[in-house]
Amino acid sequence: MLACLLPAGATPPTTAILGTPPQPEWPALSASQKKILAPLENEWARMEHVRRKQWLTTASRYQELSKTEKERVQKRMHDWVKLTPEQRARARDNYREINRLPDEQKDLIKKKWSAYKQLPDDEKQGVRERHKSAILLAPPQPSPAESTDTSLPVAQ
Amino acid sequence: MNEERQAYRIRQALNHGLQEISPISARRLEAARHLALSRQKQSIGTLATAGTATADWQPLPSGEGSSGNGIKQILAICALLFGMWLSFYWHSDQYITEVEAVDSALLTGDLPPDVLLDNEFLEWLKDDTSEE
Repeated sequence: MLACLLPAGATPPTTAILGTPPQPEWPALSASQKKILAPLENEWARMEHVRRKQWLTTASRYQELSKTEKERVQKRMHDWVKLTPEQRARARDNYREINRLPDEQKDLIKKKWSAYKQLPDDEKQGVRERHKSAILLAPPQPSPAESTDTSLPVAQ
Repeated sequence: MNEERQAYRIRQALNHGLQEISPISARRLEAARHLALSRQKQSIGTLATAGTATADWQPLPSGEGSSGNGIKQILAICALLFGMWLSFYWHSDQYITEVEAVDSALLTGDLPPDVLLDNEFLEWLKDDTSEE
C-alpha cells in the first residue's frame, strides 16, 4: 500500500532486489574502495545489496573522473546517502527533466546557478522573492545609485 | 477336394480325442486357459495406463520407472528456477547501471542535489522571462 504512495523509482524493483547477489561487508572491501567510499562507512551495514553494488560500480569508475568531479563526489556522497529514497527519486526525476532540455537552456540554468551561489547569503532569498532569475545574467548596473539592490545587475 | 477330405478327417480325429480326455486334464486345461486370459488383460491394462501417463501430472510418482520421472521433474524445476534467477540478475544489472549513471551525474554535475530537490527554486531558475 505504501509503495503506491511513493514516487516511481523510490525503491528498487523486487526483481532487482532478488537478482542482486550478496555484496561484501565493509571490512571485506579493498583499501582503495574504502578510501573512495569512506563517507559511506557508517551507512554501509544498513545498505541493501542493490545500493552497495551501485556504490561499488561508482567506486570502480572513480579514477576516470576529473579532479573537480572527484572533489564533488566526496563532498556530496555523505549528504546524498542521508536522503530518503523519495528525496533521491525526486532529485533523479528533476535531473532527468533538466537533462531533456535543449543545450542552450541547460547552459542558462547552470550560469544562473553559478551567479546565484556567488551572491551573499543575506541577498539570495530577496533576489528569489523580488526578481525573475534572468536578473542573474543581466550585465552589471551602470550606477549603484540607480538600483535599490546595490549588488545586483539590472535586467534588460 | 482332397484338402477338404483331409480337413474333415483331422476334425473327426480331434473330436474323438476330446471325448477320450480325462476330467483332470480337462480342468487343468481350463485353469491354464483362465490364467492365460487374465495375464492378457493385465498387459492391456498396463499399456493403457502408460498411454495416458504422459498427459497426467504425477507429483509423487511411485512404482517401477517412477524414479526417472521424479528426477526429470526436479531437473525441470531447477532449470525453471535458474532461468528466473538469470532473468532477475539481468534486470538487476540493468537497473543498477541506469540508476548509477544518473546518480554519478548528480554527484559530479554543476547542479548539486540540494538544488535538484528544491522544485520551486528549479522552476525559478528555468524561467526564461525577463523582468518588466
